[in-house]
Amino acid sequence: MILLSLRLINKTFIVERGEVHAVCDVSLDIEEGEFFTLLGPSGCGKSTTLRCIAGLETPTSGEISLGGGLVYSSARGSVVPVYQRDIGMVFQSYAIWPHMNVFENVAYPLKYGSSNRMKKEEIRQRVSDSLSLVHLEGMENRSATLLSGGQQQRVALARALVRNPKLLLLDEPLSNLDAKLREEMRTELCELVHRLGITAVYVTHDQLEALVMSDRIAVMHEGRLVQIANSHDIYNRPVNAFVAGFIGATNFLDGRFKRDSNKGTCGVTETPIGTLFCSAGAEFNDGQVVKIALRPETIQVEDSKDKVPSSPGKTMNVFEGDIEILDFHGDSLVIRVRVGEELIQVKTDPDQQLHVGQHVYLVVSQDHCQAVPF
Amino acid sequence: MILALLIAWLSVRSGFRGGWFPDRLTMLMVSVPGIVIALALIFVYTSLPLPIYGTIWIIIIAQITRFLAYSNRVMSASYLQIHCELEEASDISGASWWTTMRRIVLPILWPAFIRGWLWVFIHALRDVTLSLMLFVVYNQTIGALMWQLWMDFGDYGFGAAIAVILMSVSLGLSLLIARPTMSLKAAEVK
Ligand SMILES: Nc1ncnc2c1ncn2[C@@H]1O[C@H](COP(=O)(O)OP(=O)(O)O)[C@@H](O)[C@H]1O
Ligand SMILES: [Mg+2]
Repeated sequence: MILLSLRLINKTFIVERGEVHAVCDVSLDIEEGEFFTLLGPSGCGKSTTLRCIAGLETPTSGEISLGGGLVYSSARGSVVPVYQRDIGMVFQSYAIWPHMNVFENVAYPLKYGSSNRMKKEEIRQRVSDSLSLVHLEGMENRSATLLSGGQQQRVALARALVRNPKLLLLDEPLSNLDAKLREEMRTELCELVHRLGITAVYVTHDQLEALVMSDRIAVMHEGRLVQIANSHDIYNRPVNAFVAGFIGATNFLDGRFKRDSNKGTCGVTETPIGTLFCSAGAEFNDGQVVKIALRPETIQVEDSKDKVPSSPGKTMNVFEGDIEILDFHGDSLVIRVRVGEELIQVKTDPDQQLHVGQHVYLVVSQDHCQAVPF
Repeated sequence: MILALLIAWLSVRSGFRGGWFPDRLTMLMVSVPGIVIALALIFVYTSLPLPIYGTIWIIIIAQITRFLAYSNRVMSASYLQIHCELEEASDISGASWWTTMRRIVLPILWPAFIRGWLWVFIHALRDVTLSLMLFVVYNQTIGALMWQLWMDFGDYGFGAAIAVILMSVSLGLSLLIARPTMSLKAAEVK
């Protein structure tokens, strides 16, 4: 069942020098229980979209329905105010109220939320349940200002969950944590949301976070949705060069596409480093100018021609060049190889014996050469 | 001060087109001498069918008009420092606008609120101009009383005694405002 749906949402801000079109024609359907991520560079309109869903921002036009009911419609002029939407939200700054202790922070939605008055005992119970979900058992009486960043994060999450909302909105909740804690919280948050079966809309600019956590990802660019797909397809089947470049490091080669008539998604492309076998969607035409996206980790490095495998059934591309730059990353070795005019980035096994200036052969299967529109 | 908080909210947060207007209006009051305010109030309230002239209320209204600018500055400045997500988190929690003001904004602004109030209180206490113009015999302000004792009755001793009490109260309150713990508390809230 679809829990949340956005239809042609637009949001324009009036600023001193004209207008900012922060969100353009965004349409989305989010299934119940789904972990859905809005991903994009800073300033692309993710937060604004999320704030429109929450009701903190009123869209300029469009329609939003939540749980089957219309909460915003520009055509009918109806708006359900924030405090009547059944939503929990975690803010980037955590927004923990400094003048209250942990219990008061988490109990606030139960005490002052528009739902029916609740007995003291029940509030106590639900706050304690909510706190144990985020592993802060027994911290009720701590002062909010004395918590660490990670703990504030957890209190914010407990507060958002305490009313059992239909929808949980998260705006870059992990971006203020240090790297190690961020990774821990990522796993924990993901596990918690799936366990509770709650529907989540997650905003982030961190592509790794998005790939790891999401059921589906919507990539945004300059206020528009560019691609909605699961992590695998976003990574391996980017619809354009922006998505390919934003999600992970990518090599791009310009070329002219020609479809292989026997095989549906296959073709060849003339590039500056020779003819490449590539895969491409049905929308590409013969002679079209395209970019070929090549992931650094899909390229295999061999030091002699004999070792280049020839796997039948899979068309392999092979090119040769000299190593120009070599960076040891611990868990990987990142090298840049000069092939003709191009510098190709390759991520390989750190145990491989390679050195700068070495002549090497690069092997990449056709599957991993994805044609995207120029 | 509550009025000042509302005006601060209007100009800082509400996002209404004319939200800045009351804020500027209060600033204009600073440039108007007390005596002019008093005269203006006399004209307005003697011509209106409101039973205010000659009561304590006209003095209170005059004082509010006069000191709104200052208290408003204090509240706006402090309000700007509250992260708007703190209020939005309350909205999301299902709280009404009023609950958000009462449970979130006011408690966080409390130190500034108290200081502003004390400052205004001290200044109102030593006021002579407004009260002198507006007082009637049976309800006087301390400033007006002192003036009378001195000018009309020549009772310097009694006048001076009141002045000493007044000054010690003001001094005490001023020191209270300047207490470093209060600024500490305000800093902690952020
Ligand atoms: N309240 C506002 N007033 C004016 N412009 C805004 C406002 N909020 C956001 N914007 C603009 O809208 C665009 C999108 O912002 P935002 O949704 O916050 O991006 P993101 O969260 O993806 O970084 C930006 O160009 C930003 O400057
Ligand atoms: Mg943002």
